[in-house]
Amino acid sequence: MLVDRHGPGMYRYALRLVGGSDADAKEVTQEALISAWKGLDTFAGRSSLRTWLFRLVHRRAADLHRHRRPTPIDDDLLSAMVRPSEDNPLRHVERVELLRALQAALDELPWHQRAAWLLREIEGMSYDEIAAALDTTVGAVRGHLHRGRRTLAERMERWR
Amino acid sequence: MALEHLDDDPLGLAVDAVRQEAAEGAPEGWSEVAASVRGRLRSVLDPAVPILVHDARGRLDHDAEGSRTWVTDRVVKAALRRALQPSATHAPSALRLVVDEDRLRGVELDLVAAYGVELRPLADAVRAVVLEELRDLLGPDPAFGPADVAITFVDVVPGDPRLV
Repeated sequence: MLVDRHGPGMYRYALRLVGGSDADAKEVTQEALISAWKGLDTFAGRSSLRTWLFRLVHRRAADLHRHRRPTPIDDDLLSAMVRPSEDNPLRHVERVELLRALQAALDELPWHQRAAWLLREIEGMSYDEIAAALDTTVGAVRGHLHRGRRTLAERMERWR
Repeated sequence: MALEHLDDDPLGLAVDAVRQEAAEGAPEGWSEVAASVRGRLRSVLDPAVPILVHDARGRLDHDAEGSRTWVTDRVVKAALRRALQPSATHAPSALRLVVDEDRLRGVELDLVAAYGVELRPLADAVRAVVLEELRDLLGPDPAFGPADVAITFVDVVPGDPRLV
């Protein structure tokens, strides 16, 4: 149940967080799920299960981030995840390009800004939940989000 | 690549596209990750601990033939976690079961309480919830009572401790 219900979301988050590597996202998600399973006895509900699981993903990804040199951005990361539209090929191409640009812009963000933005805008978490997932304060989350949104909006301006 | 309909808010449109993709199902490659995780979980799983169930009269043998029923500790822990979630006055931090010779001998529960809540009445209320849940799952054990549920408050926090 843990794997089926929360795994896809954790993997999606890991994919965008690590930015360029399918293999890294898989490793991060696997380690987080194994760690969650081993630690379920000590979890017992101080935050929502989902928040706790995303926190584990974040920690694993941060460990990887610290110990790895930067890798080139894989331009196809997000676009590869978009299913082709059957009735509008042009719109599909536009969507792929747009998501490619978003991933590139995300990869330029500092680590915590990227994580906070993904958890808020894509995963729909509250500020409290994001603070728990990132092991920081709500005030810090607000700051990361504010700066992340401003930078992303600037980067995406070229699409107007 | 100029896209006329992106004039208004390209970032907003990109976010919509990502959310739509998320709503469409698991990302590509997920099935491979899931299979790998399941394989690794099978190799790291601790064996479940069986706990004997008492019948309505508090006996372990449910009939003249000596039929017995067991419930694993995983089921008991999951049920207790669910039972301890509903209130904003407290949240479980850790939960341990003491099992000896297939009998539940004790529950050790670490709690985080909300600031301003009276701890002693809260402990009594939580203990009652635990005992009721155990009785539902394992039947009435005449040797198991309130003194076998040890509650330790490990932290007191402002606001809802479930969200901390």
